[in-house]
Amino acid sequence: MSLPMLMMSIPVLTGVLVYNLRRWIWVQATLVCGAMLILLVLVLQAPVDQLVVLAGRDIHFRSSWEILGRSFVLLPNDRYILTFIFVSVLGFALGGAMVSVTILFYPVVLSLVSIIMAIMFVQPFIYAALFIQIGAVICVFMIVDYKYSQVAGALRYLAFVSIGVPFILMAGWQIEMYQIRPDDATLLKQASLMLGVGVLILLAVVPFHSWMPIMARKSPPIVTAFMIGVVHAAIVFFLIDMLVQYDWLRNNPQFFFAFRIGGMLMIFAGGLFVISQRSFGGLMGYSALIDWGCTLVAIGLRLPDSLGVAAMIICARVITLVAWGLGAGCILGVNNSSDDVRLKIARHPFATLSMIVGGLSLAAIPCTVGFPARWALLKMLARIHPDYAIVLLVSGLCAWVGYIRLITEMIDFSSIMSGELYRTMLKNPARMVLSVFIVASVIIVGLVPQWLYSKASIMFEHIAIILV
Amino acid sequence: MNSTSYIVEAFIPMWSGYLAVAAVFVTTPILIVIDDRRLVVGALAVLFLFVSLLFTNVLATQIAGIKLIVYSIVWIIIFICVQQNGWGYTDDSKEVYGLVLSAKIRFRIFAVIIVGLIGWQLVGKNSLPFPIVTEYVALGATQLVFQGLLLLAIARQPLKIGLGILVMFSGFGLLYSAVEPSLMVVGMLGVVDIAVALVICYLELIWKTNTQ
Repeated sequence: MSLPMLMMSIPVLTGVLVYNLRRWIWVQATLVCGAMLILLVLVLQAPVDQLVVLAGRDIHFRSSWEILGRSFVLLPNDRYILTFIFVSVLGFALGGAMVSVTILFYPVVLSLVSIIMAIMFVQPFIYAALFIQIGAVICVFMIVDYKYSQVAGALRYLAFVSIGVPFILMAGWQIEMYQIRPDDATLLKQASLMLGVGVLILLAVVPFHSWMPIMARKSPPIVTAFMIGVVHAAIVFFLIDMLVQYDWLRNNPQFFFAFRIGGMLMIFAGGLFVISQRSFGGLMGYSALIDWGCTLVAIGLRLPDSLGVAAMIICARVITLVAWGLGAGCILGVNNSSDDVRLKIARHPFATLSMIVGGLSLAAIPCTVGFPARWALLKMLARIHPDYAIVLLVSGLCAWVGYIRLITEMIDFSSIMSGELYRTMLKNPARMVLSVFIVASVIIVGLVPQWLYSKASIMFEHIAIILV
Repeated sequence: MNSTSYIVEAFIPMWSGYLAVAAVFVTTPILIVIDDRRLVVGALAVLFLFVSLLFTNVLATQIAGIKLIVYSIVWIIIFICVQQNGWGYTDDSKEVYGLVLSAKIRFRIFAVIIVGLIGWQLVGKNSLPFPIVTEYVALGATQLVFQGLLLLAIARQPLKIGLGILVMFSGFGLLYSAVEPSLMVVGMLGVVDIAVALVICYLELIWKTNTQ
């Protein structure tokens, strides 16, 4: 039996089942969590390319699956990344059950898990670009429905991915040409250029970033959080696969320079716009832009330590976004007028706490999970590129100012503490318990980041070793 | 059967050359400039037919036939979508007041001309990274890519943005099929086209409900 085929089939089959059960949200969430747990067990425990006895039968889990002349290969390094994806989806699936989501959220999430696996497994990699495009198309069904009917964010996302994918396809062709004509170094230059441009567009580098804040304002918060936290991270994993596969790419300093500049542009634009935001959605969108900029800068530094920091930022962002999505999903509805939001904040103190802690962590406030990696990056930049460090510091401060101003404008702490807390606890204990758990996680991991760093850095350990 | 294949063999070289490129030059501006959905859907049908003919220059006729089938499916999806949402203008304003064109239309015409010239210059200077395709295929493909990008940039309605993506992909597909003619890639690009058409219909329905 082929392990990649089995792993890609499980979410698709569960997705079909979940689609037919879309009226029962808890059943959907349970099935998604179950599927993720099975996948986790498979990816962590299944012996690859060995004969094992399971329930009295001999089973041989192959690491590859050939179909129509193409192969899907599970490499040993992919296991840690897949673990991250499955755990993240588990968190978002639990969060989604407690808040308002679009009707196709769970089936689409499962399809996306399969597509992300396909992006990572497929050989040759040009097919990954086509899977990225199909994934973007599927995402639209999750971002928009008749309740959340603002289509601008979904359209921008689809348009930008559609612009980025052809560059990756062209890069794939030029790499194939290089294998035929190894003397022609121009092909490699062009391939690096195409790959860099394509990946930077897909990673929402300015000016291709606008879907992020629009979606953060107009789409269901947990869906936006999932898009920014997991779907977007799949592109970075694709990039890391490229860097591992091609030595000429990882030895190209201009390629990494482009990532540093792209990241700095994101940080600069995020800082510029975050300070003027008047909504929690907008603040989150631009804070996420700064955070993604930090990830690109960390990768662009091309140091083994900075790749660990990039992995830490990606993992911390997921915890942060689950907290934000869980809270904002209760507070921010379809109609986000200031009075509505104030009223909901007064009625849902735990959701408010979760949204604020998540937002502050995304803005890298000290004592939250978002801070340690940002601090580590800042220290690295101060040593190597002091000018970049100043821009990052100022942008981070702008996000802090934006959050503090909005919190003082929107939240009346005295009304929250006057008895509402007790009533909310009785109203939805599951949501309260999950909110408290995730908020506690954000703070505890922020105070003791070594545990998360040791787990996160394993994801990019293989590329870090190669770079050394 | 033999007479059919003879007709096809005689017909395709005649229509898949500069005539197809001319059709591209005529129909893509209609998609960008005009908001009347009847004209847009009609122009799309003509465009897809001639793009399929252009594909015969870079792919085997049978595989180009697959592209034609894919474009037919895409066009039917778009047609049904527009029929569901109503024909006529994509917004309430009529763009032509007697003989006076609105500023929006004038801007679009200007943008189409500029973008068309840029595409033409790119082919003329031979600066494309695709050395295999013939000049007229490259000209048609660059026009499709650039006009598709223009449509993506200036349109606001889901239908028009979707058409922008489809037009851009058809142009890119023309260039890319010349260097990667494998059936798998052609098939997957076809799946992407159909998926984009479906998602655009979904967005158009939601957008229409929202605006109403």
